[in-house]
Amino acid sequence: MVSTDVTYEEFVRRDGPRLRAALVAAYGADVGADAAAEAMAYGFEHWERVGAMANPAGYLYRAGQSEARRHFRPVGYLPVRAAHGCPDFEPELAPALEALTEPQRVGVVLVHALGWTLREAAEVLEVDVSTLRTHIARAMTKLRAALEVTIDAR
Amino acid sequence: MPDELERQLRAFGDTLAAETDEPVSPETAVRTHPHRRSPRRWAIVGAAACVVAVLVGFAFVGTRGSAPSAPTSTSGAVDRVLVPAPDVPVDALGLAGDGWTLTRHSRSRFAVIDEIGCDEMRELDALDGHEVVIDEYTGSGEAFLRVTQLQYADRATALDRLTPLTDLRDCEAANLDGYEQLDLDASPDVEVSAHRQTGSAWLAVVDADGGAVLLRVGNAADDETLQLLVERASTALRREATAASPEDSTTPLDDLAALVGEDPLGLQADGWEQTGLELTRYESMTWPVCGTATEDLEGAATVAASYGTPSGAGVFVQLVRVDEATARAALGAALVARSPCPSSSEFVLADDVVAEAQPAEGRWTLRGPDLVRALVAPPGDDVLPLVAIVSGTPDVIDGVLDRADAFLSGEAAGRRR
Repeated sequence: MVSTDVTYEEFVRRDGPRLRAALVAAYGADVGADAAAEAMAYGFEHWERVGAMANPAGYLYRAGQSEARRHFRPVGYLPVRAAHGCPDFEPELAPALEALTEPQRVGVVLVHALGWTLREAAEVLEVDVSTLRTHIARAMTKLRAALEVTIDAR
Repeated sequence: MPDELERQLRAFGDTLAAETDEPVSPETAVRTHPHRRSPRRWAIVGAAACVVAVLVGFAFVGTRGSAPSAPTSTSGAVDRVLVPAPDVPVDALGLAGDGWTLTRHSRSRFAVIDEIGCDEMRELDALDGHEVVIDEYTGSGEAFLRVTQLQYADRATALDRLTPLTDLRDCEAANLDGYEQLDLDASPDVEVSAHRQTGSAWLAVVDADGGAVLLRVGNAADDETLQLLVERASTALRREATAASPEDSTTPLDDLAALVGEDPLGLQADGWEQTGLELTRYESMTWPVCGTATEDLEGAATVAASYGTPSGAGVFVQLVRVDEATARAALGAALVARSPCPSSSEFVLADDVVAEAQPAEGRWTLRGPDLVRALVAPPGDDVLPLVAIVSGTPDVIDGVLDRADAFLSGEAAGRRR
C-alpha cells in the first residue's frame, strides 16, 4: 500500500472505513470510532509526512491505538445484542471476545466477523500474515472453548 | 462451510458494522472534533501558550512518554497505602560514565504500570501505590536503560509483584518471538528474574528485605551488559540496606495528593470514578519551552488524578496540581521564553502533542489536537495552579471545565479572605 501521490481525500475514501473498522474491533464502537477520528485528523494535519509513508493506514492505526489507550475503557464495550435487522448471535460472544488479547480480538473480528482477507488485516495491523493467522487460530480456539462450540458443530 | 462459531462471528460483525455504519469522507473525518480542525486556530499566537504549555506539559511528562505510567488505569488508588522509596541517589548504580548518559532522574508514584508484553499492552499493578525512583539512560545508538528502584514489604511480595514483568509464562508460545529466560549470576542475598527478547531485556533484582531494582534494557542486551547490571543492582541494594533514610522528602507531595485526591470538582457524585493518582517529583529536569528554548527546573512536583465514567467510553478527566515552587519556576520559564516563542501558537508538549492556548476571562484554556482541553489558573499569588485536562465529547469537556472554573474561583476567593 505505497501511497505515492495519494491525496488525503483519496486515502480517506479508500482506507478510512478500514481504519475505523480495525479500531472499532479493538476498542469497541465508542472509543474505536473516536480513536479513528483522531487518527484521521492527525493524518490530515500531518499528511505531507504521513502520506509519504509506505503504509499510512498502518501508521494511523498505531496513532489510533495510542489515542484509544488513553481512554477509560469500561467492561462491556462490545455489543451484546444484535442490532435491528441483523441475525442474532450468542450473548456470551462479546464477553468472550473482550477476554481475548487485543491482537487476537482484532484479528478475529476483522477476518471472521467483518470478512477481511488475512492480507488486508495484516496490512493495516502492520503484522505478518503468519503472525495474524496464529493470533486468529488461537482466538478461535479460545472462543470455541468459552462458548463450548466444537469445530464439528455445523 | 462455516461452523457455528464463524456464523456467530459474522452476525456479530453485522451488528458491529451497523453500530458504526457512518460514511467516511475527508470532510467528516476532519470535522468530527471541530475545535481542533480549523487551521485558523493554529494561527492564533499567544505568550499564554507558553504558560499553559509549561504547566500542562508537566502533566504530560508526568504521565506519558517513556515513563511507565498509566493515568487511564482502572484501579482506584486513593486509599492505598503509599510506600516510600528508599533515599536513592542519582545514578545509584553508577552507570553514568560507563558509556551510559543519565537522561532523567525522578521520583514517582504509580497507580499501575502499562507495559508491553506479547505484542499487546498489558496492565499490571506491579508498582501500585509505591513510590519509585527512576533513572533513565541512553547509550550508543538507540540503546536505552531504565532503572526503577522501589521497596516492598518483603522479598516474597516483591517477587510476586515484579515477576510478571519479566516472566513471560502468561504469553503464548507462538508469540514469544525470541523471548528467553536468562540465568544470571547473583549474590546469595538477592534473587534475579530475567527475560530477554531480541533487542531488549527485563530484569528484576530483589533482596531479602523487599528492596528491588527493576531494569529494562533496550538494544544493549548482551549477556555481559546484563550481568554487569545485575551486579550493580545487587551492590546498590546492599548499600541501601545499610543506609538509613529517616528524612521524608515526600510530605509536600502528600499534601498535594490530598488536594487532588479529595475530588475537588465533585465528579464522583456524578458517577465518575477516580481511576488513578500519580505523584511525580522531578529532581532535575530540562523542560522545552516554546520549541527550541529550554529551562532547567528543579524540585518540580505534580499530582495527577484521573477520572473516567463507567458508561462513557472516551471520557477522561485528569486533574493536575503543582506546588507553588513549581508553579513559580514554570511560570517564570514561560515568561522568559515569551520573546523567543515563535510567531505561531503551535508548540510541542510531548510526543507530537501540539497545542494552542487562548486566554478567557482571566484563565487560560488550552485546546490540543488530542481532543484535549485544559483549564489553568492564571498566574498569581492567591491561586495554586490547577490544570484540568479533559478528553471526551465537547459537551463533557465544557461541563468539567465549568466546574474547574467554579472551583478555582471559589478557591481564589477563599484565599483572598
